[in-house]
Amino acid sequence: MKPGKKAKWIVGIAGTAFTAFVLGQLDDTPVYSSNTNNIGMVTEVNDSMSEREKELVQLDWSNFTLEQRADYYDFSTRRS
Amino acid sequence: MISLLEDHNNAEMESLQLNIMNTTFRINIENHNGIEWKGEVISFLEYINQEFSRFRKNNELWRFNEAKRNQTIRVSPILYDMLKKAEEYRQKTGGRFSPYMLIPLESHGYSRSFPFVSAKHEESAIHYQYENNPLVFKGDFQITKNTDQKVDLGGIAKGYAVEAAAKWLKQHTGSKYGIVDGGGDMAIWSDGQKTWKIGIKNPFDESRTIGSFSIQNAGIATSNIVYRSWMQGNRKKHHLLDGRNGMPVETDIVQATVVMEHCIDAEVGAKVCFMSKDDSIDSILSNISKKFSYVLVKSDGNIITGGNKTYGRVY
Repeated sequence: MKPGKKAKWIVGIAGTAFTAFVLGQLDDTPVYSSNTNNIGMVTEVNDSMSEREKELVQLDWSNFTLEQRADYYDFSTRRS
Repeated sequence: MISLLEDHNNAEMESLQLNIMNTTFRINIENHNGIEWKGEVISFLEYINQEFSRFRKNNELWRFNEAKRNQTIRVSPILYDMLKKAEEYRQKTGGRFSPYMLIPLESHGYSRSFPFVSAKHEESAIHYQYENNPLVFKGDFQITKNTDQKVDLGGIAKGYAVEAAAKWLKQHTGSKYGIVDGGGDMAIWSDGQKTWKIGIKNPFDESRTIGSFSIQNAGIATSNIVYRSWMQGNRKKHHLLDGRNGMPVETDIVQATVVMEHCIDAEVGAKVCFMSKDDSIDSILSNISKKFSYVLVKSDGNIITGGNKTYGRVY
C-alpha cells in the first residue's frame, strides 16, 4: 500500500477536509454523562432533568407503531 | 459506476439521489446557509465504492486480501478505521458479526453482485475456523494479518458511508435537519423542528408497510433474507452468514429493523438479530448500543417488537 499515493487520490476526488472529518468523527464513542440527546443516560439522570429535557430525549424516536398505510411516510425502509 | 437520479433543490430542502454501491442513496437536507455539499458527498461515496468493494480487483480491499498470513500491511486511514470498527463489532456480538466472511460467502455461491438466481458452482466444503485475533492493529495505520481468511466489508461499508456523510453534512452545512438513506440504512438528524416518519416495509409485499417509527435523531437499518438469496444446487442460500461458523443463518426471521443512535450500529444490529435466539436479542443488541428498538418479522407473518413487547401480524 502506498499511503502517499492514496492520500493524493483522496485529495483529488473527495477532498482532504472530508477525509479528515470522517476519521475524526466516526471514532466519537457516545459519552453518557452530560449529553441530553443520549437516551442511554435517561435512567441514570432522569430525576434531575427538566420537563423540557425529558421531552427532547423522548423525541429522539418513538416506539414502533403498527399501521398498514403506504402514503404518508417521509421515507420507508428498503430491502438490503 | 454511479448514476445520478435526482438533483433537486427547493426552499425547504435540497435533495440528491444516486445509484452507487449496488443500491440507491437518497439524501435530503435543510440547507439554510446555502453551502455546496453534493459534489463532495458524491466523491466520498464514489471513493468508498471504488476502494472497498469485494467485486473489484486492484482496489485497496483486494490488495489487503492478497497479503499473506503474518504480513504487516500499511493501509489507508479509512480502511484502518473500518477494519478496526468491524473487529470491535465482532467482539461485541460474540463473533456473530464478522468481516472475515469473504471465502465462505464465495463458497456458498455469492461471488458476484446481485441480482442472480443461482450459484455458478456446486456446494463445496466450507473451510472456516473462528479465530480470536485475526488482525493485530498497530500504530501508523499498520495491520498484521494473523489469518488466512479474507475480508468482506459488505456488512459495514454502507452504514459507515451513511454515518460519515450525515455527520459531515451536519457539521459542514449547519443543516437543521436531514436524512441520509443508503439503501434503507438511514442516519437522521433534527434540531427539533422536524420529525421524520419512517415506514417499515412489509417483507412479503413491498407496496405495503407494517408500521413506522417517528425519528428526530437516530440511525435505522433493515436487513432481509428474502431478497439476497439464491440456489446452490438444490439448496437455498442467503447472504447472512453466522460469523461463528461461516454458514447461512437458519432462522424463522425474514426481516429485522433496528433503531439505534448510530446507523452503523443499527446495520450490524439488524444482522445479528438473525443469529440470536429471541430471548437473547436484547442482550446482544445492548452490547452494541445502550439504546435500541427493533422490529422482527417472522416467516409466519408475526411481528415482534423490542422494548414495549407489542405483537401483531403482517397478514
